[in-house]
Amino acid sequence: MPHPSCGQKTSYISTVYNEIGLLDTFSGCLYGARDFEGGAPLFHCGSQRAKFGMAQDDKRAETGDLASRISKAQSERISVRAARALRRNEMTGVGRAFRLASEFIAAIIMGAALGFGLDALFGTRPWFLVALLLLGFAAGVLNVVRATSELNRMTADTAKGVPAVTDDEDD
Amino acid sequence: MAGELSETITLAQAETDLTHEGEGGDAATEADHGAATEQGAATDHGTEAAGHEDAALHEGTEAGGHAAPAVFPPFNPATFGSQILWLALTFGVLYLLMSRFALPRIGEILEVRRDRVEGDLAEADRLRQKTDQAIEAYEQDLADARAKAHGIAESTRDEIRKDLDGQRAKVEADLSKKMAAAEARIQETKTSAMSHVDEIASDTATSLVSQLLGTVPAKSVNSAVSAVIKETQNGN
Amino acid sequence: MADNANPIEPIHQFEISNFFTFGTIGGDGTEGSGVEIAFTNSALFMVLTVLVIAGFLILSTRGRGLVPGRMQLLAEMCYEFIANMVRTSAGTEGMRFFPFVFSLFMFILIANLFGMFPYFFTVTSHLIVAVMLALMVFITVVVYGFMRNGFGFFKLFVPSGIPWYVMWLVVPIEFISFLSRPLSHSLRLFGNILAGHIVLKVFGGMVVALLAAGAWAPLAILPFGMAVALTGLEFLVAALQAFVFAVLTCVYLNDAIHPGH
Repeated sequence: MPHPSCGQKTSYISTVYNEIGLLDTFSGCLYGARDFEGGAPLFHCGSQRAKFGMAQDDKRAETGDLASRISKAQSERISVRAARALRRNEMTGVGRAFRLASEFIAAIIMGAALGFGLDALFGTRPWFLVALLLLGFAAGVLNVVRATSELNRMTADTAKGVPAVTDDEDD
Repeated sequence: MAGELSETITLAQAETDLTHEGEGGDAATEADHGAATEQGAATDHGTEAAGHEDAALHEGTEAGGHAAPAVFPPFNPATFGSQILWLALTFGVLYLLMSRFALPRIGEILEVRRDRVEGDLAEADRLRQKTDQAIEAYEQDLADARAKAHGIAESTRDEIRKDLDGQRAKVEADLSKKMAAAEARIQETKTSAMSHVDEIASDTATSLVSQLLGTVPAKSVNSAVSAVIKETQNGN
Repeated sequence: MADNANPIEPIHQFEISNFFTFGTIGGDGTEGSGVEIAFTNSALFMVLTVLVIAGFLILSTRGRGLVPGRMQLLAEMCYEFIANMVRTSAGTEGMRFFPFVFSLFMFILIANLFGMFPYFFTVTSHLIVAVMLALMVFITVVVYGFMRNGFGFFKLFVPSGIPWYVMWLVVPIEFISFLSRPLSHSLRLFGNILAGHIVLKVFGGMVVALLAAGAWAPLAILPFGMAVALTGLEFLVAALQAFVFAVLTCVYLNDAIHPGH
């Protein structure tokens, strides 16, 4: 596909050639290196010039594919797919229920145990037990709220694939 | 319970291994021991509370486990001591093996590979950029060469045309000079021819007159001829 | 441990039997007092667990291949998996606990998976094992928290942006919440494994009972299907609980590193 200027040039040069018989090694415009993959000639006289000028802005046509492959390989790390799968599983149904239940119950048991111990220590039965049981209940609710928000954040992080904790080394 | 004998044998082996390894594992298991003693105090309470149910359980387990346990086994405090001991021992050994041998080795493997892969990728990218540059340089050279070829053709044509023009001008100048010379010569010939006319005419007239009238003085003939010539010239 | 005598009995699988007894520590010499020390089936499986983990990790990476083989790849995946978890949950400083979290994860995972084989003992189904593991984490958190932050570690109990007059209520609640961590941490692990194994055993026992009941034998297919489905679920739970235990360890360690909320 000869470029217009290419055609002009050729006819002009061949006119000179015909008139003067000077450029006796010059033969048309099908010259240039071959493409790396295809068998087509890489350059068609001046036609390629404009095309390259444009392709220069983003990536070269010839090595663009290679460049994207290289950058993809550079960004790709050993996957955290297993972690995502497990996290996703933890998000669902029974696992989540069990987690929240254990958080809740553990706080109540801990409150009751503390109260029982303090009562035994001071002989104030049952006041510490009652008070700390209530506090344990509150702590259980707090645990559940915290665990829920943590689970939600995990879900969001898993969807986005960002770390759950940002690294602040300077505190 | 047939397999128990062979199990005991492998067990004895495992145990000797473990005690060997356990010697080095003391430092790592210190924290565990602390926890263990703490728990041990709690266990004492439990065992007292459990009372003679424990004794019944002991008989049951010793007999081969045919009787159902009196205490739910996962909560049975009688087994806590040995479980804590063996957990501390085995976990300490595991921690030591992991932190000293297995993990540094895997970490090193991964690091070497990451360095290698990153190095290779960087090299690939460098070569790609080099290729791009080579293509660019090639293109540039090509364009330059084309421009140069164009220039050469142009200049050659101009040169030749100039040469042609020069030669033509020279030839033309030469020709016009020659023409001028020829014209001058013609003019000269004509003039000289014209200058000889009265001579010829007087000669002719002298001979004519002498033929007709005999001899006449040349001087009179000449004056007569020149008078005639002058007359004709004036008449023209 | 082999419990052919009573297949329907779902509790028996958790029975601890002594292989040999070393003696008792403390106590007044009477039967049932003091702490009995023995090598038990539980200890056997702890040892096996450690041997399997160490053997697998050390043997598979023996070649140090640049291009990993199948086993080495598996070992590397375990490493990367936990390393990523620790780094994302506890930050770069948390990486000093990486061997600890890794040991915990592998120990629980392999112990849980051992429990999936019939007639094998499940170490993690015992309360004391789970409690000890959780206590280990708890003590590490407390010790490191005080070592790193000094009394700044108490910031953990004092949420920022709370008016002083609710402090007297909030701080005890936070304190109980903090103390309840090893409990919930261990409850979840041991509860999941224990419940899973009991349910599995119940369905397995139902199959055997129905098969033995002659005319009802065809009905055995129902609990059998359930048992198969539950076995799949239990494999998931085995991995999931090890993962959750490790994740929560990381979260708690992160609190030790960054006590301010």
